[in-house]
Amino acid sequence: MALVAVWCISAVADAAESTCAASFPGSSGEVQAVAFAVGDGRHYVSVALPEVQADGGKLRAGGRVLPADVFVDPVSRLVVFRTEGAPGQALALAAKGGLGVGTKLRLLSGAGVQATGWIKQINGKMLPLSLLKVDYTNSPPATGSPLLDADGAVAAVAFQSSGQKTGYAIPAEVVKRVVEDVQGSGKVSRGWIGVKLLPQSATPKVTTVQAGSPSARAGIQAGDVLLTVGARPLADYADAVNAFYFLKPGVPSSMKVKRGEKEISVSVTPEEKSAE
Amino acid sequence: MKPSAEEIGALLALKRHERPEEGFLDDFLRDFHQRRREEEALKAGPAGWWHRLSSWASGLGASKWAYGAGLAYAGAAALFLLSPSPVQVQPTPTVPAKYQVEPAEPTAVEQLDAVDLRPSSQGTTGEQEF
Repeated sequence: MALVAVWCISAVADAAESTCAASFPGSSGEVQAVAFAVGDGRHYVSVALPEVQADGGKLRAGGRVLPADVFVDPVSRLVVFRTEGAPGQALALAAKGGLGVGTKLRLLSGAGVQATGWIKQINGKMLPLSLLKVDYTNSPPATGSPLLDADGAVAAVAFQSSGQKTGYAIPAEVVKRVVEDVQGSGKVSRGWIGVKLLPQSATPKVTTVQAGSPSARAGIQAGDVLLTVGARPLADYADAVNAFYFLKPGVPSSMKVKRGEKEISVSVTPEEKSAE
Repeated sequence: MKPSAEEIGALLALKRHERPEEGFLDDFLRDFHQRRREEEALKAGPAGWWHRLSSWASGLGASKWAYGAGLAYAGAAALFLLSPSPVQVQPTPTVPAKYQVEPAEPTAVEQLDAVDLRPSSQGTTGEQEF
């Protein structure tokens, strides 16, 4: 148990000390991914693509399975392994807001990566959170590989390739959201404020407010157009969905809405979304 | 055999005494025109008809003007009676322009519950609750 970090060093040949290997059962065998240590060094973050069984993930080192608790965020497909014993060398998570089109990143190997844009929907389907689109200098790395900014902090995590040298990545703020949940409450929770929106709407307009919901108590009404959630400005429905992802149960969030010609600021305290 | 000068002289003396009957020359010109008109009338087509009509009209003398005036009056009366009455156009009721354009029903968009980039991924449509 105390040798987790050492095992991880040898597990992935081309990775630095902070990475380890994760494997997930798939329909045609085990699917490999990269895991990297964050926070206190006892939490390893990886990504389970939709075709694998995320909660069956294992942290591996030197061909051996390391004992770890597995936490899955079913929305982002991020998987957090919580280990015991000596911590690994954790990578810092970049502060949010540093990513944009043209941002230069790199892999642990030093290979170049460049952010080329945000993906809010794919194949005409809205994503539950915005992904970063990236170009790689070389071939795309393994799923779960950390993409580092100029300070060496994790700015994004490789999700899936989309071409010979392109792919999608999960921004670090999503990792931070999930890891904080796991470290704090030992589970991945989601905030619920009780508003309904239509995906095909041109603007993030509230169509329904659930009676007795946090939004109703805060004074939000049907027809209000959401302008900001927290510090995130909303331009469209996809922006609203992305912002809702970061709502935490019990943590008040400021919201600004437009009602007619007036702009109204409210504070909404999300409740924990019940399991469906 | 050529006639002799005496024979020719006798023939000329005989012709000098020949005269047409009384009134022959008066009827000659009228008969000539009558025959010519009859020949023209026998021709087919509009020209023939026109000539027959002209012949008939010219045969009427001064009364042809009365016939012409009567015919023109009858034609005008027939034209007036047979011409279609003017169509009564009913004014179209004024309908105010509809300035409020109904927006087309937007196409349903799926919302994915998880980050799933597979083409086979399926989301939900309609109102999404957050």
